Amino acid sequence: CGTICVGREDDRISRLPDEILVEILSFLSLKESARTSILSSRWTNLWKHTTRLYLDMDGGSSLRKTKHFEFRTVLIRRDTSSEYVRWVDRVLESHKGLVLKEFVIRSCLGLQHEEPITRWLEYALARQVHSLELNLEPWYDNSMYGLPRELLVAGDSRFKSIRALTFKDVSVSEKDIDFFLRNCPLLEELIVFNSPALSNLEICGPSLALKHLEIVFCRRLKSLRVSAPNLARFWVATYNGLLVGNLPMLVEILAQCKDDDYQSGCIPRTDNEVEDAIVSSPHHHLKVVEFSGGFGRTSLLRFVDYILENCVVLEKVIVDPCYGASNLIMLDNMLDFQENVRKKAKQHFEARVPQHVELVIL
Amino acid sequence: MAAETGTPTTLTLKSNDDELFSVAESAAILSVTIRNMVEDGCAGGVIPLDNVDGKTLASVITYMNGISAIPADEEKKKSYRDKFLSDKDFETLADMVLAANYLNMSCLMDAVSAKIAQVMEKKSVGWVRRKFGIENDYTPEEEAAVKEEHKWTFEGVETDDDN
Repeated sequence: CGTICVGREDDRISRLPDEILVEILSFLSLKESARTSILSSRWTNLWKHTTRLYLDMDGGSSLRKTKHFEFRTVLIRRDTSSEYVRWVDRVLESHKGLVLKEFVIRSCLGLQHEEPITRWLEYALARQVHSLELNLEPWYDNSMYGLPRELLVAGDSRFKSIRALTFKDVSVSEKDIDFFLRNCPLLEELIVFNSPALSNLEICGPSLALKHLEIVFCRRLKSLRVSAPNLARFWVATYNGLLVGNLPMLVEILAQCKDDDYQSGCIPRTDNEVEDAIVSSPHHHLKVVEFSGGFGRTSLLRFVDYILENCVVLEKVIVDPCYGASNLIMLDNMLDFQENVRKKAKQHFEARVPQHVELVIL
Repeated sequence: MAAETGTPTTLTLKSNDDELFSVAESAAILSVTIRNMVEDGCAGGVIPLDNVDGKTLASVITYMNGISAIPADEEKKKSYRDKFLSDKDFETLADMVLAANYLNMSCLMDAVSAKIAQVMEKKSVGWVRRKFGIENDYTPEEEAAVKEEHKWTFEGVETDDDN
């Protein structure tokens, strides 16, 4: 519109306000963002005000949340754990932010690092953290870290800002989860990946804000009862003892089974002893259901029947019958086995899934 | 978003260089700043946006209309945002990020911030200084001290000087 660029204004980026530059830096890995301090005096302290701390073993990735929790193997030599602890301590010492939107710990740590891990959690809680991820991967001879009793004090207002919690390879118990459900009124996302301390879990409450729930690879889980009025996405790796009720907002469910039967190389048995008591309640929003693995189990078949009966707007059913079977190297007739499982799945689902619902068998 | 009743309402927005723009209320309230004004009943006449110039506002409105026409599908919204920002130069992005911040539009703010961050990604300090015209005002001693404090940020990093 006729305006000519009058002399290039130099260094436009440094003239942006602090809050915007801090926001821009939050899209870089922590390493890269901290490196900008060397640019000029304007940048010395900007990175220290970031509201997102991704403390990844490889220097802080800028990975944003994916749809489902992504299992990432941390390839690290064990002697670097202490280096990691020193690094995190140094970063937290420099960090000046008063609030934290995201705080992510990703490393090979276990019970022997209880003191620093608890200290870091205190740090995040003191800054009203919104999203907290504790993603550990202890060495086989080191026990898992568990949340210490002293940390979880009922009525502690520091938990009130939490919206998302992820625990991987952390010994999280029913009691801990119950604590979070009671003390985090804004909690919308809860992910527990491989906690050996869960056996009978209840996630129920008429006023739960929970929208996204993943309970995966918790081998000792015997029963799981879920009733949450706002739950939209639900990913679970058990069909046994699964009891769902009052999930009116559910739009997506992924039921996955990679159980010990598979791992020990046996063909899954048909389990008549497990008694499921699935509460019947129609789901008016559930559109996509994905079943992986666990084929041949009565509990799965009953779950499938339940889903098909109660999901009135179902659009798509995805079946991955051989999920988890790739580990079956002990089986000579692996391919036959897979083919057989696929055939069984096809028969089973084709007979049950209505015509208007898209059926995908992987 | 709140359900609309009756005919769609149109708002008039005024830039700081006095350009007027009409925009559907349903699209404009992507801006929390505008939504608050609407909710407080201040949207009857013209809504003055003192921190945004006409050129930037026109662009923001194009974005508002484009993104609000896409149904709740995060993938499609993301690809619209990518396309929308793909041909913007840094000056435009800087104006846009200031406008998004002032208008309190988190989706645009995040997308533009990510786009600017992308330019710096995996680049050396020298490259970033040259690209953005950042003057190094440290004394050699100061720079050495800052580098020493942030030594860990250079560990295992491969930067790309040439692009």
